[in-house]
Amino acid sequence: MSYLIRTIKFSLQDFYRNIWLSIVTISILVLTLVSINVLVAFHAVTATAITAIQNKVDISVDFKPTVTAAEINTVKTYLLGLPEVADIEYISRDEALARFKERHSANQTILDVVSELSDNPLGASLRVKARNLDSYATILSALDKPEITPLVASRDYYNRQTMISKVSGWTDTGEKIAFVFIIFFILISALIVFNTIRVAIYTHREEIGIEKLVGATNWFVSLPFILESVFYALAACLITIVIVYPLLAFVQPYVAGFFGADSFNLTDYFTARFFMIFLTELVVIMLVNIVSSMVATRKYLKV
Amino acid sequence: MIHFKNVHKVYPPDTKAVDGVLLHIKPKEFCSIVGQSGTGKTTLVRLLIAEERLDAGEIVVGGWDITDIKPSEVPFLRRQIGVVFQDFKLLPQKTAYENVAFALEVCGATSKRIEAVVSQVLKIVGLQGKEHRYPKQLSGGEQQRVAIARSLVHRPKILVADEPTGNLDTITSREIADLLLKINEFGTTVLLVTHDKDLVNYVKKRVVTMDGGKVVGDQKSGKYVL
Ligand SMILES: Nc1ncnc2c1ncn2[C@@H]1O[C@H](COP(=O)(O)OP(=O)(O)OP(=O)(O)O)[C@@H](O)[C@H]1O
Ligand SMILES: [Mg+2]
Repeated sequence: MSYLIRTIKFSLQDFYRNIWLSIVTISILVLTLVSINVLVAFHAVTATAITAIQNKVDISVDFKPTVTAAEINTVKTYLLGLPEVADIEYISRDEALARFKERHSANQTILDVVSELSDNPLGASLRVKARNLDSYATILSALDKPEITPLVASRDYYNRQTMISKVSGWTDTGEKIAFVFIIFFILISALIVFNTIRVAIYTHREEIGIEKLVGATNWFVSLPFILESVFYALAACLITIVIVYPLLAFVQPYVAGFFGADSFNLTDYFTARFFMIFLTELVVIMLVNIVSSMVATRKYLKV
Repeated sequence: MIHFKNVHKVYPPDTKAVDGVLLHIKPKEFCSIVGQSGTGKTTLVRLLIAEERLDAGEIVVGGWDITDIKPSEVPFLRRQIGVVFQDFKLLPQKTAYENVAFALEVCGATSKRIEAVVSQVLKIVGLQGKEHRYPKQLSGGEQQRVAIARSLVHRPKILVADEPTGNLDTITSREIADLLLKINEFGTTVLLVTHDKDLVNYVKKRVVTMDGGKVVGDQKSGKYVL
């Protein structure tokens, strides 16, 4: 116990003794951890983007306002019979109008015009979701039947496949670049920690010589240096947490601009996974530091 | 207690520092090792505490063959052999008491045991009342006493002193020699490596003379002959 206290004191003393070296070491570790968090955030955003695209309606069929609900229901039943169709949402004329009003709730002129009309100008519509990414073509051709075409005012489809492959393309490239940076930073961290511990050993060479002379075990001699590197990892992790949250708040408006307000919040994403994210990072950086300080003690303490 | 069996040590490229030493030091013996500079005395000490590895031969300490000692076993050998050097090797930022306590701390002793042992060994070397002085507030002889006290904390069976009086005047040297003789009387085997002819003659114990890495003389109650 007293050994532990002594060792912690030793680490803190060393931190101040070589203050600039400590600052550089911790900065590099923080940089490494921040780069890992950038990857985590990037991954979260792109995954959300892909899910959002996947949930988008594939084909929207707008019917003429004169078409009855019964006729639409026949079309819906027919489409549901197709193996390619996963789901259909029916939007009635009233609902279409309500959605239209809501969408333009800020624009009084439009609302006035709409309320002046005696009749609802909008038709009902079906929103068809395909089972597979490439089945929309089949569904579109199924809608080309002579019984259906006269009822339809317009058809619209959204090409999920192209969009998804585009986004995953960016994601893959982005994640690869981030990964290379992380590996690079981890290597630099390992080297910096190695050097810092080397300097610490050099600073304490007199004590170390005496410790070994009086029969201190190799573990006893090297443990303070390994603990010192653990201390660096802890400090770096805490600083990273302090840096990452303002950073998330800073990019949040851009993310919100992409997905629409309130749809996805990066800060909430990190908070919900706080321990998973930061504990994993702490473990990773600690392992890097422990390995690198052990190599240093092995080399310079001749243990 | 200590067997050197035809021990050889070559420093690269071709310095034969120890060249076939055959020496047996019995338990509780006081043995001085003398010889001119560069004749391998310190090398012999370094081999004994496993700071260097021998190239040929065998070293047995208290029945333990340390010829091929594992690095993990070295600390336990060091706890059985107290060592004192010419330059004291004290930590300047620690008091006499702390310097001695340090040797126990780094071996994981409890604070209760540290307290008991440290005051005991400081009493043996005659440093009561000066426990809380820093090395620079102590004379050379007193500093060497601290170093000797520190070498005794593990109650070693062997005490090796390599030129312990090299930095001290004649009278102080004799005081240190008296202390070593006293420790020897308690039953510790003492190995005194020295240049000091007067000191060897003062001690009047076994004298082993080395030259060119070899033992060239061995007298029961000897004089420094050169
Ligand atoms: N680490 C080393 N590397 C290479 N040569 C060494 C080393 N240590 C000692 N030597 C050489 O080995 C020889 C014996 O040295 P050693 O220190 O054992 O002599 P010594 O008898 O203790 O001398 P002194 O009385 O001056 O202390 C010398 O020639 C020395 O130069
Ligand atoms: Mg010497």
